[in-house]
Amino acid sequence: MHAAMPIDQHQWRAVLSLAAEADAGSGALRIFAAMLVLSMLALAATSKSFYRFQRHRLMARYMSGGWLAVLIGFLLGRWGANVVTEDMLLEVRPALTFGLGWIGAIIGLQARGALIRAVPTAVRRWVLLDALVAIVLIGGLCALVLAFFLVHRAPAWWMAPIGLLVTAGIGWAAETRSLGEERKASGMHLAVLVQAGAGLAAITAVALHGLLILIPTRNNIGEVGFSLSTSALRLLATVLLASTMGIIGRFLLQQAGRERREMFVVYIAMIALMSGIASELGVSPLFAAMLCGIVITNLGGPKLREFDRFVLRAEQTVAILFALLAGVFADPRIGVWGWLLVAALVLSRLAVKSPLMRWSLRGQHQALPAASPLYLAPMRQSLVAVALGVAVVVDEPSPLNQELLTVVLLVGALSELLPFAFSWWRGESSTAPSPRPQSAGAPS
Amino acid sequence: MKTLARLLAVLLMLLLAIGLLRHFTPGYASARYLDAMDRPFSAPEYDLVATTTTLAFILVGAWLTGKVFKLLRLPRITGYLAFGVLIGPSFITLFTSDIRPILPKLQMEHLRIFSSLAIALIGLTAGGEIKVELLRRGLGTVLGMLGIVIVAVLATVFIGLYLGRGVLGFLGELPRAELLVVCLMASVLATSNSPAVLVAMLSELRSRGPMSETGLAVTVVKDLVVVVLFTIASGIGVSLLLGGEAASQGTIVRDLAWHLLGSVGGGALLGALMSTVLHRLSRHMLLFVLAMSLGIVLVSESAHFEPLLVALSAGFILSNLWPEQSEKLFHSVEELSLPVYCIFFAIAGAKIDLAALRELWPLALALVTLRSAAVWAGITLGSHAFRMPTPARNWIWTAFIPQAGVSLALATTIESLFHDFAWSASLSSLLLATIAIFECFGPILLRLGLIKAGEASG
Repeated sequence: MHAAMPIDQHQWRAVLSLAAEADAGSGALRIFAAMLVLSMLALAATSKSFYRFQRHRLMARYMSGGWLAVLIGFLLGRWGANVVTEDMLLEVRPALTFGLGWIGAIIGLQARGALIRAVPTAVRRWVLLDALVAIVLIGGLCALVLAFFLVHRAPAWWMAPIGLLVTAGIGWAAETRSLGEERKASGMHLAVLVQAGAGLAAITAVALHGLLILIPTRNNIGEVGFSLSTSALRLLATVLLASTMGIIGRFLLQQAGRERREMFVVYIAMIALMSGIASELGVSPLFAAMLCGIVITNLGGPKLREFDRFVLRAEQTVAILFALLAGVFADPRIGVWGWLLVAALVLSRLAVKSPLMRWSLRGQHQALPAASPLYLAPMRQSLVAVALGVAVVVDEPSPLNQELLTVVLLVGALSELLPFAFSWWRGESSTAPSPRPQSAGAPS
Repeated sequence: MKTLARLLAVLLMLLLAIGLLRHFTPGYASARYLDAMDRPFSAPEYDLVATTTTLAFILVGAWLTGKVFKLLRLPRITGYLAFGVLIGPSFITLFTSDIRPILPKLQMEHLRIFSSLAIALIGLTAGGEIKVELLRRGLGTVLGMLGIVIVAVLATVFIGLYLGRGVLGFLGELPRAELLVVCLMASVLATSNSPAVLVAMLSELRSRGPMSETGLAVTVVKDLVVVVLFTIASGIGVSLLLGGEAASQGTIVRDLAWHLLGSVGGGALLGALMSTVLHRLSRHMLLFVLAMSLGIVLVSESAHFEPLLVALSAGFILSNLWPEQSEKLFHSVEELSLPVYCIFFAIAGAKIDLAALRELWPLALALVTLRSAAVWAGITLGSHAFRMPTPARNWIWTAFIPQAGVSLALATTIESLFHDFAWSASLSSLLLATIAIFECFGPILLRLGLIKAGEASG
């Protein structure tokens, strides 16, 4: 005989929610809510009304870098309304890894051989110098500051934090419209150079970051050290995988035929496979997907070109989503070391980026304006830095990585303000009509 | 033949690659590590890290298996299900417990969000397919056929199980009251069929015609009725076996009304809300569809609504009240449908309990025969009584054979509701084994039905 047992209201509700498979619990509900909020915000940011709002030059200045999204993310996060927290986001880590793969693919797809060859030598030299300066100057500054604050003194522990800050320091924002002067012929040419350089620098930054974080490895008990064989094996596996991915992708797309829905499956699977395997191997999903993007764009073929268009179509949405995520992950308790780093990195951008641009482009054949606000463009931090910061947190959600992300965000936000503060300080002199061109000659 | 061999070779290579990756990447639990400033943090466990690869693998693998099945003139969704079975935990454990399955249970939990989104998208598609005009024209047929098939299945399965108790395994040993409850619950579960399989099949074969339309309408309404029936049956079962100390009838009726009317009303409201956004939206429709699916899941789970019903009613409202604005939306839903079906059905396949099937297959086969015969008889009677055109009326019964997600959830609920009784686990296993058979062979039958009815064009 079974004892009579009352069935309470909760059990009835369980019967009624049979299609929901199981009681989701408040944790799962909150994750759904968080994802809904983020996707609605991303949608709002890509709406027509928001475009119109952004068309205002002042708005464009502050929103093009995604800083409004970062701020909203921060206000939604633990330090604000607590609607979306980092714990919830880490529960949907597969989706974040996939997003990082998407960004990596966007960056890699820019590296078409013909396109790279079309970039003037001066711009390539500029990017190379910029990377070298970042490694030496930013690397040195960071080492100096962190030497006083890091508890673990072995060099392996330093690689990842310094690697992030150095690679975040490479390059600049590709957006130039808000700086003006794009409509003048010389300004237009300069703007194109800035954009081409930004693209090339983004590839450099992601590649360098991917390589740098491969070097230190964490063992089973959590100690960080160097294992050359493990790192080399991982790198080899990633390069091999990215190379074969293009070929596999081509075969799969052949099987998909002209059916759009099937092509969609292959596109999603390719990005997920690349970023997922990279993540399992301890390689940056950004780096692996970028390599895959490079292989795909250089293999050519109309269907792989279609992949290119498919990935780029979501560029803005993905960028806004990651800016929101960065805001959520940011931890404002960065302490003295953090503020010291922010100050050092902002000042180094201010002091080095613009002169380096002028010096690198001095040999350009085509007329460049002697003075233009576009020369201030390299002071502004690249959006790729935000993705790198988020990637580091997703890979290892430690307090240090969250604080480093905050440093990157603060440097980005302040460096966004610099060109305007600078031109205001100079009494808008830089926006005055440019004198004679520096040089004239055959187009590059 | 050459294409088939090539597809199989790639599939095999993929399986080998993922197998090697899983073999050489050691699985690890979540661990506490220190950062460079000596502060602790939790590193994610392996199963969470590996979920992205698994997702990609499911997507490619299920898609390729679907293509192989298509070449073999079988439904693609059976291919997705078969692939799920192959990589799921129950297949490998039939042979050895030393090898880690490609899709372990923990990863299935991490992929739950994709299943939930898939249910919302399937509901939206189904709702969008049902037009007011069809209901106005054929409401009598829909309700009539629904009534007949439900009565036929309930009666046949109940009586069949009751009379055959002597030869049907554990049923013979049960006291009368418990036997009645088991027969009742099994017969109610037998009335359910899978809207997801039907929607996916109609989409795969691009089916249009009386069988597709009536089949979908009856299935959708049946989904509502099954919830009511299940609640009533559970109430009876609980009163009979647990001394009638259940929640008051008022509470049950109120909760049931809230569940059903709330699901329909909530969905309608969501549909109206979606239409206002659609007015302003011209780009990024995929993101909008994704956000709305999340909204449907969120509303359903927080208010204890049924997600499929919420999505159905949102899709129905949108396609009938705002047909022009919603066209873009349904186009995007259609664009998303293939990856969604691949993931949804592969995960459903991975959940099939092969151990239960191996143990209980004779009993399960008996139940399958009973249910199939009842569905055939009921629907054939209904379609003749309501003068459905031929050849649709000869084959429409195949639309009500497949079972999947909702039926699985019902079986699990039965086990948890009567967990104090020794038979609850056996009954649940039997029902799961039966559903597994219908899950695998239902789509094959449905495909045949749609082709024979002349409604398949894909």
